Amino acid sequence: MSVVLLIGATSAIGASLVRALATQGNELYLVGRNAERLAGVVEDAKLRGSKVIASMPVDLADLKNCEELKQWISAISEVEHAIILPGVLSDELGTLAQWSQDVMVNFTVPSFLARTISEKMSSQSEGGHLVLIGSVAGDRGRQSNGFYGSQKGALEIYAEALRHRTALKNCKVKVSFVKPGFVVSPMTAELKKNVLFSEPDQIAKKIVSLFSRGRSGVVYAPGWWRLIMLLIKLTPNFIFHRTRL
Amino acid sequence: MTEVWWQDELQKPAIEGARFLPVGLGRSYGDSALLAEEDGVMKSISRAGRLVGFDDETKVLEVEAGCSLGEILKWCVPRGYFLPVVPGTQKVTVGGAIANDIHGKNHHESGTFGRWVVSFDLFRTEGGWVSCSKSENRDLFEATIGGLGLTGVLGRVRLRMHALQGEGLVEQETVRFDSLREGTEILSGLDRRYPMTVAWIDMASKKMGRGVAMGGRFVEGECPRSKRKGISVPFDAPSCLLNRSAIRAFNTVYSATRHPGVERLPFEKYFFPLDGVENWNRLYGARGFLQYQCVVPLHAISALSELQRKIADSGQGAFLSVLKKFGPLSSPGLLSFPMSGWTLAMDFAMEGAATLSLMKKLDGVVREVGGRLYPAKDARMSGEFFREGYPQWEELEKLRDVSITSRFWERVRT
Ligand SMILES: Cc1cc2nc3c(=O)[nH]c(=O)nc-3n(C[C@H](O)[C@H](O)[C@H](O)COP(=O)(O)OP(=O)(O)OC[C@H]3O[C@@H](n4cnc5c(N)ncnc54)[C@H](O)[C@@H]3O)c2cc1C
Ligand SMILES: NC(=O)c1ccc[n+]([C@@H]2O[C@H](COP(=O)([O-])OP(=O)(O)OC[C@H]3O[C@@H](n4cnc5c(N)ncnc54)[C@H](OP(=O)(O)O)[C@@H]3O)[C@@H](O)[C@H]2O)c1
Repeated sequence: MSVVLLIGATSAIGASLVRALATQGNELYLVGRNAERLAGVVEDAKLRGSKVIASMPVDLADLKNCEELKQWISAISEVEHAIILPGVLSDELGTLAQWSQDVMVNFTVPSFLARTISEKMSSQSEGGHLVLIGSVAGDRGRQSNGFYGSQKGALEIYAEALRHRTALKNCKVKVSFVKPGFVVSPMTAELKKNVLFSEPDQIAKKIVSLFSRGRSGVVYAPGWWRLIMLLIKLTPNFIFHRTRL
Repeated sequence: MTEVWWQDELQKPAIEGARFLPVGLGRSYGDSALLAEEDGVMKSISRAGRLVGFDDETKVLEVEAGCSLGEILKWCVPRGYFLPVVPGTQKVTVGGAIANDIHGKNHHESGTFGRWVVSFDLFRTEGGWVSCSKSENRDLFEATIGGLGLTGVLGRVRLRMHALQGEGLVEQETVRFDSLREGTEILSGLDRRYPMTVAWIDMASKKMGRGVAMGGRFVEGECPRSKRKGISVPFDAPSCLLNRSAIRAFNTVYSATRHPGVERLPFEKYFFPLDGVENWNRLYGARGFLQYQCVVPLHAISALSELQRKIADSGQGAFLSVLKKFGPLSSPGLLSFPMSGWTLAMDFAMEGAATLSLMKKLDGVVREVGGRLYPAKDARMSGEFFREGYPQWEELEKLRDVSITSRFWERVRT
């Protein structure tokens, strides 16, 4: 049983994670945007046997809200595991205003919260384990999904920086970066489903297993995406640029 | 198909104008959970399936209708409760269980699923969310149970659970019989001693009519949890695999391997043997199969033999055939399938016109004795036969949601 902080509890992957973590009987701190949905997730988690210590609705595109969230997190006495899930699929041809807001949700705020949480974990005698969610879309710039991919790619680099920072401090903080492939969720509602899609439960299971194995580093979910992305990264431009990927 | 992830997505502006059909996990065999693309969208609600609350005193569990029975069992068995009624698979939603007012091996003891539904919220295109129970909007409550999804979208459901004796271990007694007639007698006898009963019948080989009857009850004792992953059928089998002689052979082998006596097994194996084989339906090949499930009144036992004769004459064997006696407990559901009598469910490999013509002949037998077919498993019965078997259909039609229809309903209502 651990104390787990989950930001993005009302995402599809987040709700699956809450189910898995609650069934294990963990103590949960849950953050989501929509208060009503968050309340539903909290009820479900409690019934499954977890203590939900507190929950908080937050809009990550709202700076004031994010400051409050930071305060709320620092008030928690100890966070053993934390997961930061929120993300939006950017419109490749979005306006400047849209893009700026997307960067807040996909990159700036998750990075800031990751820093906040890792600092908190550094000060805990037992350290902690932080998981950030990226995407295979961040592995190579592609015309169809370039702006979303760039933000996830940037987040991956920041996760790497945090690993560097915690390594220097010699503290017991682990930072994992999970890159799901296609996942069935509201985010992909418009896409036609095929065999490459995974269920949110599969991704959740993978994340939970990271905690039990205490693994740091970059993880693909499911694991076979590592091979697919390797091939995509190795494809020379003269071929790649003829695809519509 | 679109998916509803959160119940708050069910709002007037989102629904209005477009025709649709709420569906669950798509475990119905026929076309009652289907809607042709040109007729509207299928909205799957199986993602909105959170647990909401449980009252120890009344044993009432509140869940969102998209919750699967398997998910509920995972939650309730360790806590000492069991679902009042389960079908032959746990991969169905509470919404689907209500819309077809499903029955299980304990029908003679507990009746249908709908009997255990205390109340629910229903989303209607006109009027939004309404609460339904025996005391509130009773007409909608009754029309929705067995209502084939036509009255609205089920939201939160309150369901009375059973206290579970033990940890989920089931004791099963197996008795063999050599003819249908003998089978019905043995089943009736087992019904008096066991809360769960069912019989498997050979409807394929030379020894047609023989079978095994099984009685089951929950007992105290440690329930072995099998960790082994189920097997999966990765692709459609060639159509020759389940040909007539294979079906005969299967029935012979099945019969030979069922030994009379008493054994103990975990409830998953007892209730859901097919769930262990992922995509088992692919064994039938690309043409698939048709289920035929009818019920005939108690007094019409001879109709069962008549059905057997018709099947024998056709030379087409049924792969899996199951016989069960429905008890007299009535359901609140308006269009509930079960009635006091005998129900026979059979799987036929689809052989085109020959299979359809056999089923037409079976229809004749069932109709003559005042029986009817199970809409959840039908893709072909005539509208006339349906309306005759379910005279209350007009009341359901009056309460149908203005935006909802299904392929089944369009087929049988005219
Ligand atoms: C292996 C197997 C064994 C079976 N054994 C039995 C058995 O023993 N007894 C028995 O009775 N049945 C049995 N069935 C049939 C099955 O229980 C029913 O078809 C059940 O309704 C399927 O539920 P579903 O969630 O898959 O719903 P679907 O098949 O997707 O839909 C079924 C109906 O429910 C409606 N519906 C679904 N969700 C909602 C909602 N939220 N609001 C309103 N309407 C909704 C749909 O419109 C449709 O009319 C079996 C099926 C299989 C595959
Ligand atoms: N689905 C995929 O194929 C896929 C693939 C790779 C990576 N991912 C990543 O996985 C994570 C979870 O996504 P998902 O697939 O589970 O989809 P999802 O259900 O759509 O989740 C997205 C989440 O982000 C939240 N969010 C968006 N904008 C927000 C804001 N301004 N403030 C607060 N929260 C905000 C949403 O909150 P609301 O609940 O309030 O809407 C929602 O919980 C995301 O980071 C996504 O990028 C998904």
